Amino acid sequence: MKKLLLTTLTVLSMSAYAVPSCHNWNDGSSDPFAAAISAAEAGYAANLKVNMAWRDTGKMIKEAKKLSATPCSDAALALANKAHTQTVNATTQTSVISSSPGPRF
Amino acid sequence: MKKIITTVVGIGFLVGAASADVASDQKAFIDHFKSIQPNVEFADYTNGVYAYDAGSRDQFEEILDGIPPYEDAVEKGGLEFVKFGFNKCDALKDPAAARVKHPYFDEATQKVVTLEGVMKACYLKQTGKKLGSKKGKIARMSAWISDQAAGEKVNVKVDTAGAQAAYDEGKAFFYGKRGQFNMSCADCHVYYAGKKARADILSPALGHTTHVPMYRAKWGGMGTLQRRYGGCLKNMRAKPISAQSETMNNLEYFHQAMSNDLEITADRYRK
Repeated sequence: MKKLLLTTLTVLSMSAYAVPSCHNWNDGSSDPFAAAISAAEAGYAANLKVNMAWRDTGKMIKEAKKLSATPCSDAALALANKAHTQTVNATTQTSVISSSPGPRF
Repeated sequence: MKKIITTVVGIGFLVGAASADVASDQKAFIDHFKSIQPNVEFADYTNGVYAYDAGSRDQFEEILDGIPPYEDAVEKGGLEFVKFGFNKCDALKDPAAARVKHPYFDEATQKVVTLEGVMKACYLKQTGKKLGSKKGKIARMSAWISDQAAGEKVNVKVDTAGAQAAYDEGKAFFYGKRGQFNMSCADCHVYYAGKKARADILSPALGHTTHVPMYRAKWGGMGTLQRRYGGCLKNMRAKPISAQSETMNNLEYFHQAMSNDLEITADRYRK
């Protein structure tokens, strides 16, 4: 039992170091990068489903994840937010298309 | 009996309405191009952007007078057509008829069937291998098939409710804005056709499908219509959609229907 406890505690302490984010988990807030990237991924998946995804969103998500390996990376959060904004705009385009198909003449 | 008559008349009315829709769409389409370029004859749209700009047309004609860069590829496509047993596939036995017939709406599968789609299926049947959709063999062979129909007219039929739905989906795609630049196919190739985008003149969508597959100087080779769709989407910063997917086939169906009654041409060079 002692061994098991020790192993669990060691694993937990090591994994805490492995989390690249410098987010303070003790103030009750959620990790802004994790929230932004999951919102971007969900939006991108929805856009892909209706063939309305933008060209660079996927690349941005990949790049943001890469950058997030560096602790306290502002660039990762900025890129994740940018990707999320792209998915929001693509979703708006989808609703505009379905409400007004057809030529202007 | 009364019910049957009502149903038959109802279906007939729906089909009639569907066909009329395409005809009126095309009329409005042609009228728009007449309004922006009153001096260009309808038949000249088979030459695409070269119907608009005299300088570009001179260059085009010079290229055609020499040895057009696609000539070898088309010739090779003819040899490949026989080599891969395309003449043994029912849908391609008569290449000229196949070019004119496609794209069409297949009632059994409720999907649009394109010429390249049939070619891919035939290649798989004959060789057991998959054929690409955008360039290389498929573009060469499809160009050779189209050459056999040169002089005939594009004749896309939209005559059932299912066909109308596919056509409408293609139309919505064509006029819908997408990508980071928030632009539709129509923005460049309908509303701004003939205007310049940097150094290039935007080609009119009317007649786009008469000379495909084409040789593009930018590609340095042949490519199918759906290869070009992918390139356009990328330019608009939208994620390209797989060639020969249902969405792209519906777009092609609408796009080809807008060029109904224009001659299919073997002059397949584009800048």
